[in-house]
Amino acid sequence: MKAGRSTPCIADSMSQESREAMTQLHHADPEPDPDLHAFVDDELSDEDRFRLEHTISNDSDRLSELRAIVRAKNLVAGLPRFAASPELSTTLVKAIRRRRLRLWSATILSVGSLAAASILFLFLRMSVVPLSEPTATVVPTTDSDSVVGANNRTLPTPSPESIALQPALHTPQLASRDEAPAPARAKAPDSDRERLRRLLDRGATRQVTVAVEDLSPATLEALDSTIRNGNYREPEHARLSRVSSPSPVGVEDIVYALVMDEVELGHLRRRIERVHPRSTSVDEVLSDEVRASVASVGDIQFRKGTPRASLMEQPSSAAFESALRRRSENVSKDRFQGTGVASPFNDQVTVSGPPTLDKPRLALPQAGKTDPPLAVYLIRICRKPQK
Amino acid sequence: MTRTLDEESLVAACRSGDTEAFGILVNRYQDRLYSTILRLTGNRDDANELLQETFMRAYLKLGRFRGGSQFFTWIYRIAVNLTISHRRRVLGKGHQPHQTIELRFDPTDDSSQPLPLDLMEKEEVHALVQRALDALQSDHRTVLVLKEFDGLRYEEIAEILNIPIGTVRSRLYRARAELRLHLERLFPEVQTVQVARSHQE
Repeated sequence: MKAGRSTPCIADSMSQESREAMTQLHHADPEPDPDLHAFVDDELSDEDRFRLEHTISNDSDRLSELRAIVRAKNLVAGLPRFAASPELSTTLVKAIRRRRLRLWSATILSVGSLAAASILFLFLRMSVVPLSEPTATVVPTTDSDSVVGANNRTLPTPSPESIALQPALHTPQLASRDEAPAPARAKAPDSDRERLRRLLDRGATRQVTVAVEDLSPATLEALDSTIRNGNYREPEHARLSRVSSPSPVGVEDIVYALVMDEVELGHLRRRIERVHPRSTSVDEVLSDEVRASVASVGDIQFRKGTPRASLMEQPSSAAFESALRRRSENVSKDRFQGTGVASPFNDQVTVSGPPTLDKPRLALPQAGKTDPPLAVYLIRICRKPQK
Repeated sequence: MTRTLDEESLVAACRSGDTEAFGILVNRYQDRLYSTILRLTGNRDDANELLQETFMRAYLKLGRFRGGSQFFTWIYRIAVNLTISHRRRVLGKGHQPHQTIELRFDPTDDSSQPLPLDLMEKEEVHALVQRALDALQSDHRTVLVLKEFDGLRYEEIAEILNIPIGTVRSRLYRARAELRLHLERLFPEVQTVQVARSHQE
């Protein structure tokens, strides 16, 4: 301490009022008296208040207790208020606008791609199969009456040659237009699931859960970028499912589910540790805490993993369970079966029929059953507690 | 640009994508929420982060706000839940939350400018009260801050914490009793500090 510094004596410098407030707090009987507290808080009815006032005026102990409660109350109520950063609203609004811009860009890109694909599909279809009445275009005829008839949308009288030609001209095209796409559409989800299953069952595959507790846009953006920009050896690796809490006030983590091999996992760890040097931890297994959190998720957002990933159009009910499943066929029965509905408000996909902890989406280990070794890693990104 | 819209209109505007309306809501509630979070955490950095997270989460979840309660109650609920969760996480990892609202009257303080006595006294009292608050059980501290510091009614506290009013009452008087015990313990520290200072001098 520097010489000359005045050293006030706290107890002396405290006003009489403060001193009393601090010292007399414990003089009163700490036995709780709910009515007395409600009286102090102005939560009694008029009738009860009058009754209590009358009682207190004749009871010195209760009066003393009342004073002690008021003093404690005033001490907390008198704590200073602080102002938040004045730039907070500007910062938040900017972050939200950036986020919406990204969403719009993605939406426009998706719609544009869809439109382009539709046009291309129509163009190809038109170039192979005429869209107008086949009798006027496919079956050539020089009969002027038939042409007139076609223009009047009446069937021409087929010539024997045209009858002979018809099956050859029409059957394959009709088959390819009407029959072939149907099984292809039905097969696509099954095929994706099968690929995922094979991927997860590979010995070298590691399932990785990244739990992010800090939901600031900067953190999420940095993490997304880190995951997407990784160099993966398999196009399907690092396929990403982003999950958040179903509760409007929930505080569960945002969870990313990824798959990759050991080498890629090492790279990912190092990249994440570089981006979040103070706040990354890696566990070897999925902790119960995260397991419970994952079991209660209700919103799932599917995203593409790497630019090379081509498997990202997910069957919504299967994606997350596939990404985090255990290596046992039995557990899938207990898993959630739902359908995805895109929310117009934000970029999340809500999955209907949210499971509860009683009906977890992730099956917990069953006694007496031995599964193959579970290779699940948890990378937790959280605010590092200050020491 | 000044807009004097009621809360309902602002929320509706936010839902339709008006970020300026959201900015107004943030401006309207940020100081009040910040003070509360700060009293619950006792740490300015954490309070700043939690405040941002609260608003960001509120914006993302605004589609689910049904208007059954006031917007402020709703966002308060988010803030309090985030804060409780944060503290639980920090304490669960075996770390004591770092307090930055500290006792200013530090015997090792070497600053040459003495504080005015009245200011020092107030800060001393505030620091002791904050320390007593920090020492409370999490449930007790929360209900006490909401009641005494924010002046909320039992009904509002019950809605924010999603507990019955009877529980609010019982937690409150237990919290007050606990606070008094902690203040009782902390007050002798002030005298100890004085003695230490006297000896140094």
